[in-house]
Amino acid sequence: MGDSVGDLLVLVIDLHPVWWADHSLTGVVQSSLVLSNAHLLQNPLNKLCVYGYMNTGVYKLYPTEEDLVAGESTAGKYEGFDVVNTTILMRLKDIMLECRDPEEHKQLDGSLLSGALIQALCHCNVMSKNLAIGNILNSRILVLKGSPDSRSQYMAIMNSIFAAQKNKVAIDSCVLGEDSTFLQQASEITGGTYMRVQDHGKLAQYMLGVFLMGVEFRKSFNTPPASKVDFRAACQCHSKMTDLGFVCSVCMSVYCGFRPICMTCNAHFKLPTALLKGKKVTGKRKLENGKS
Amino acid sequence: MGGGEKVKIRNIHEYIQKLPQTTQDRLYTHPATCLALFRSLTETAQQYVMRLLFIGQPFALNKLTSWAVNVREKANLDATKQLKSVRLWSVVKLDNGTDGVTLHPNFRKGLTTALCGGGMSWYGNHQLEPDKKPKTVEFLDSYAQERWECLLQYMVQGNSDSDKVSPDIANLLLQSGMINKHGSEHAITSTGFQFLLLNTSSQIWYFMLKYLDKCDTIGLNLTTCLAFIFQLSFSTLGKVYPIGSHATFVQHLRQIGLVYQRKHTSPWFYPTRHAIDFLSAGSNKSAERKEGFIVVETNFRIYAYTSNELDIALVALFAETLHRFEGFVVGHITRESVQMALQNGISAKQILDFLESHAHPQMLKCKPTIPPTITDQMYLWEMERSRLSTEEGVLYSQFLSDADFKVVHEYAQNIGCVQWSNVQKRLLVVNKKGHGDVKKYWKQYKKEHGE
Repeated sequence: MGDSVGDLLVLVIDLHPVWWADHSLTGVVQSSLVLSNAHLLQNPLNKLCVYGYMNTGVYKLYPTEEDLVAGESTAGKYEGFDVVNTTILMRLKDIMLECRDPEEHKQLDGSLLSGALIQALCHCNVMSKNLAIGNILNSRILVLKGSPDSRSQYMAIMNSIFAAQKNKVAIDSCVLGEDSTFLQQASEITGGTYMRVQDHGKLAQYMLGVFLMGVEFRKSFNTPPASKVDFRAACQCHSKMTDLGFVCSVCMSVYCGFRPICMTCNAHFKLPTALLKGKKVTGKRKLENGKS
Repeated sequence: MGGGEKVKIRNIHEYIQKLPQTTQDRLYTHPATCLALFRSLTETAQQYVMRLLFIGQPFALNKLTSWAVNVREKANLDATKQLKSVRLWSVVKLDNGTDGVTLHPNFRKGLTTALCGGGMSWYGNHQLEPDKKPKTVEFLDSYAQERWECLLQYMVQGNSDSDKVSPDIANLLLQSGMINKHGSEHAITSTGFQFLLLNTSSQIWYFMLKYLDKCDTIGLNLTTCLAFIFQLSFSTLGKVYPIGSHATFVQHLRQIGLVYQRKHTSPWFYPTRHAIDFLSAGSNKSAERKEGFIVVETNFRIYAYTSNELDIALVALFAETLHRFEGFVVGHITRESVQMALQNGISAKQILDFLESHAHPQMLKCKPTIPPTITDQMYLWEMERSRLSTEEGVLYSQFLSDADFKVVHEYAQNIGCVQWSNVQKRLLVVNKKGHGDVKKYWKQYKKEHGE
C-alpha cells in the first residue's frame, strides 16, 4: 500500500549562550515556532520534534515526557499549536536558567552539533519503526545554526551525515552566522537545502518559503541556488581543514602530516622513502557519492 | 429504483466556493475556518498561500511566476485555479501598472492569527469551572460511536417510531433523500445505501453538508454554524468547552454524537473524536482505522465476525446470508446479490472499499487485501450492466420515395446526428439534439420540391 502518514520535521536549534549573547534569540525562536505551526497545519498527520543543543548538552524541547496543559490565554491561536509552542518555550526557559554558570560558557566553541544530529536521527528512526506495516514516514531534519563549526567533531558529524543519507533523511540547514562547511556538506550529501540567512528579521519568510516544503516537493519550486561546497576534510591529528595530506591505507583516516602509526586503527607504516626525497603523497578523503 | 444519484463528497474548498461572496467574507474572519480551508488545499496551493501570507502588500505577478520551476505544470495551474475559486487569490493593479497578487484580507488576518496568536479567543472570554467528574476519552469514544450507530440503524430498520433518533434528525434524513417515508414506515433509498457504505468520517461530513444546506430553514445562521464546526474540528479531545451562543446547534450535534453534554442545560460540552476527525474525510487523509471483522475468500464466501446489527445489515446489502451464529455471520457473494446492490445504486468500487476498510487483521497480512478474483469479478459484474445504454432519439419512417429518404439521410449524416438507419426499409433514427434541424430541413425540402 505504501500510504504516506505525513512528514516528520525535526528542528535542531543552536542554543550556544555565547553566540546568542550578541544576537536576538527571541526573534529566531518565534520564527521557528511559526514554521512548526505551519508544518503541523499543512496536514493533520504531520509530526514535529524539536531539539536544542549547546556546548554543555543536547536537550529535547518537544515532545516532552509530560504533556504541558495549554495556558488559559490561548487568544486567537489554534490551541493545538499553543500546546506545542508553550511546551517549547517553557523548556527553553528551563534550559536558559540552568546555564547561568559563567565558567562553563566562556568560549564560542564546542556546540554539540554532532550529538544533536545523532539524537535527531534516532528520533526519526524510532518514529519510522513504530509505524504500521506498509506506511511510510518522510523525515527531514532542519538545523538552525549560529555558532561556528567545531573542528573536533568532524568525524562524528560526518558519520551522522552518512547515517542520514543511508536512512534517506534529508538534512536542511539554515545558517544564521558564518558559512558552515559541515552543514554545506550535510545538505549536499543528504539532498537537503543549505541556506545562509544574514537578516534574522526575515527568517520566518525564508523558512516558510524554503523549508516548509517536503524534499520531493521542492523539485517543482525554485529554491536558492546551492553555493560552492567546501568538501575538504578535517585531519585527525589537529582538526585542521586539509586539502593535501596523508591518508591511512587501512581506515582512510586523514592526517595533515606523516605519522608512523595510525591514530584510528593502529596500523604501522614504513617511513616513506618518497618523503625523504621531499615529495608528498597526495590524497583526499573520498565521499560516498563520488564527489571529492 | 434505478441508478439513483451518486453520493459525492465535496471538499471543504469545493463547498466554500459555492457559497455567496458575502458569506465567504464573513467566514474568513474566523481563524478556524481559515485553518480548515488551508488544510483542504493542494500542497502547491498551500505553498503559495504561505509565501504570500506575510507579505503585507500585493506581490508582483511576474515575480510570483518565477517561484515555480515550471508555471505551466498541472500542479501549478490547479493550485491557482483552486485559490481563485475560493477567492483567496485576487489580482490587483500595482502602482507601476503591472499585475499584483494578494490574498483575501480577512483570510490573511485569520490565518496569521491562528498561526501566531493574538486577537480574540475562539470561544469568547468564558471562564469555565473545571468539571468535577471529567469524562475519559474512552467514554467519549464509545458515546460518539453509539450515537452515530443509532442514526445508521434508524436508517436501516424501517420503523419510524424509534425514540432513539430525534424528529429533527429524522426529518433531515428524509429531506436529504436518504430515506423515503411511506406512512409511519420508512425505507432506505439508493442514496442512503451508498451513504452507509462510506467510512464514518465521510458519513459525518456528508451528513453535516446536508444539515448546513437546511440550516436556514430551522433558523440557524450558516456562517456561524460552519465556523463552529471548523472550530470543533480543531479542538482537543477530552477538554471542556463553553457553549456560548450556539445552544440550538450544539443540541443537534449532541443528537448525532459529535459533542457530549451531560444535561441539555449544561453550559459546556466535550467534543468527541467524530467531531475532530470528520473534516479529514473530504481530503482523504483520514488515518482512523477500526478493527476490521470481514474475511473474504477466493471462493466468494464472506465471513463477518460481528454481532452488530448494523454491520450485518451492511454485509447483507451485497451478499447472501447463509448462516448466522452468535457473533459470526457466513455469507456468499453471488452474481444476483451483487447485481441487486448495483441496482440500488451502489458501485463495485464502493463495495470493495467497504470490504477493504473493514478487513479482518488476518486479511490485512495478504497483499492485495481483497483477493484479485473477487475484485475482478465485481468489476465484471458491474460492467455487465453497462453493456446496454439508452439514448433518446426520433424515428423518421414512411418516406414516400427513395430520393426523399436519401436527401434527409444525407443531411442528417452531415450534421452528425444519425443514430441508426436502414436504407431498405427507409427508416432513420436521429438523436434528440439533431431532431429540430432535421425537421426544419425536411419541411423546407418538402416546400421546395413537393406538390
